[in-house]
Amino acid sequence: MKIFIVEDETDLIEFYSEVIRMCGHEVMDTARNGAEAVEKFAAFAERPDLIIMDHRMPVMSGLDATREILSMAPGIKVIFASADSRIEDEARSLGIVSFKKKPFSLERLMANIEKVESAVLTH
Amino acid sequence: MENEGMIPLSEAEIDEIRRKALHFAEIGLYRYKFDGTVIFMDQGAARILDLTGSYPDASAISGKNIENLFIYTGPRGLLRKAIREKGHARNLEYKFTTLTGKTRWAMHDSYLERDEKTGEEFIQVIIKDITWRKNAEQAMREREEWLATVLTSIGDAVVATDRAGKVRFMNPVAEHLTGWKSEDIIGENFNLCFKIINEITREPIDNPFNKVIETGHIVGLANHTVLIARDGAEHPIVDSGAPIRNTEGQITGVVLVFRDDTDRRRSEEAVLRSKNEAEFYLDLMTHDLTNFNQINIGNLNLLEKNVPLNENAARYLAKCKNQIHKSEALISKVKTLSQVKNLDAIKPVSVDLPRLLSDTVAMVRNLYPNKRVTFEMAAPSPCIATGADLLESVAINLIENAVKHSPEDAILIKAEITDAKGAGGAFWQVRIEDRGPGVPDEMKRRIFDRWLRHGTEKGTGLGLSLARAIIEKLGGGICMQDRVPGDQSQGSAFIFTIPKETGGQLP
Repeated sequence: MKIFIVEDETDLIEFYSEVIRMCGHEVMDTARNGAEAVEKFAAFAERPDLIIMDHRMPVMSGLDATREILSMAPGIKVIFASADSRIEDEARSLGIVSFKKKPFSLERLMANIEKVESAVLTH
Repeated sequence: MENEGMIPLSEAEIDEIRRKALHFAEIGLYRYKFDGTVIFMDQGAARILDLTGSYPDASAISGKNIENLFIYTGPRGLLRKAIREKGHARNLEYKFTTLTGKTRWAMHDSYLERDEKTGEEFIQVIIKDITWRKNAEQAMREREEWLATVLTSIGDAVVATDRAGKVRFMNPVAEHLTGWKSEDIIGENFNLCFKIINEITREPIDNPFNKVIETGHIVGLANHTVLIARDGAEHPIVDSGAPIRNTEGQITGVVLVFRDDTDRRRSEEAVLRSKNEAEFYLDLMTHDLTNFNQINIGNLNLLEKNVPLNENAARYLAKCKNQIHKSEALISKVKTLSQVKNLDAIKPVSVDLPRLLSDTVAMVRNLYPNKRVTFEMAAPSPCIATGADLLESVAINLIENAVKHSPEDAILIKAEITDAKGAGGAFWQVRIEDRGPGVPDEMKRRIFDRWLRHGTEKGTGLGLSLARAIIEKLGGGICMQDRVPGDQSQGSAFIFTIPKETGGQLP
């Protein structure tokens, strides 16, 4: 799968990238904030299979970015990762596939990625 | 004829009626020459001048000088001068001291009399004792002065009007706030000095005077009221207006009391700003700490995956992971506590208590895979409480404590839910018992205090204080006892009450 990481913490981008590679997938691109994510997503020639989206980022939040991206590409798979559980309901209402409350273990992230993979494969 | 058959009264009888009437009305008569010699004084005048002690028979006063019969310290000769010029003097009120030392007030009506034969002139005096009226007037004046002093001295602005809205009184604080001097506004319409607008919309606000007159009730000003002073200065104010009623209950005016609200608003805003700042910093810190924890736990996981660890290294790693979990638990509890402080933030929800406890035990079993937790529960069905999502934190704290503090690997936790006694059927009582080491008596009272830790497992010290804060916010109570009364070593029982479901309303 081609995975797009949206996260402003460099160390977290590196962690997600490592996990993605361990699962045998490819990091398609990264964005440091919601606005950059929307811009890059709109310009992608080929859409990613999965987006890992942080919430609290500069310029534009993950919730707003997810809303815009899903309006451009309904059905795109988004794993939302946030330290703020108060936004879980709102994030789920947008149509994300999973909400990961930080901090979570490597195994749980891998399990989520695999779940998306099997859904993508079934299609 | 109406008076047919009646015998007309004689002059003497009519004189007697006059005498009694004058006596009753506390009126006396006396006459004296311009040189002060008393020609005649009746008993009534002698009584008013307090001379009856010295002269039981008033006729003995004749021949005395009037100036020696009482003490008058005011200017002399004015009466005689008036009588000479005009022939009479009416309603002359004066204070005098009697020869026995009493202070009295009298009213004089005097006129000039002339002896037709000798041509000698006299002053005829009708004297009335007005001491009682003067004392009452004095008392009233003192009361008014006292009231005026009170109204002038108080820290609030006070303006009183008559029924027509004309200003009758304004104290110095009101002068300061309105920018009007009493002497300029008294007698003028109240609207002139009390221009108020809404702070936000800048629209004029109805004058409270009209509302008081219309309703006859005490009225308060709307929020965000700003008074515009004579010089255009603006003062945020809070105030109330009340009717002034006479003894018949009729409204005779309005009194308005108002106060500059600037300082209170400033301190309220400062408190709100500090609260928002504190929340902002808390939010920022917990968010960033959580991100650090995420990075650490992620990288430790990667280390485990990538490097074969010997027994010691695995133990060190486990300790690191454990500390990260504890740090996350602390962040979560601090966040929950800050939410509990604000009751409005608690959304009342229906909570299935037996299910909450079972789910919590299942979760705690996952957290402590090495412990064998047996859970027994007795509860009526259905057993629904009005709680909040935060109630989950209470259950986790109580059940995790039971597991955490138990030295044994096999742990029995019992829960019992019953109707709370003496609560009129409105509350559930939840009792959770463990068979752990128990809590010493000296610590029982303080077990719900913040930062108190107990046992060998080091927690955050926040859990039970958080549980109590949540339960109390929900309207319940919480306590702890020995499971077996008097025997601490047999384990503990935590008991809390929680309102039964009443349709989504918190008590």
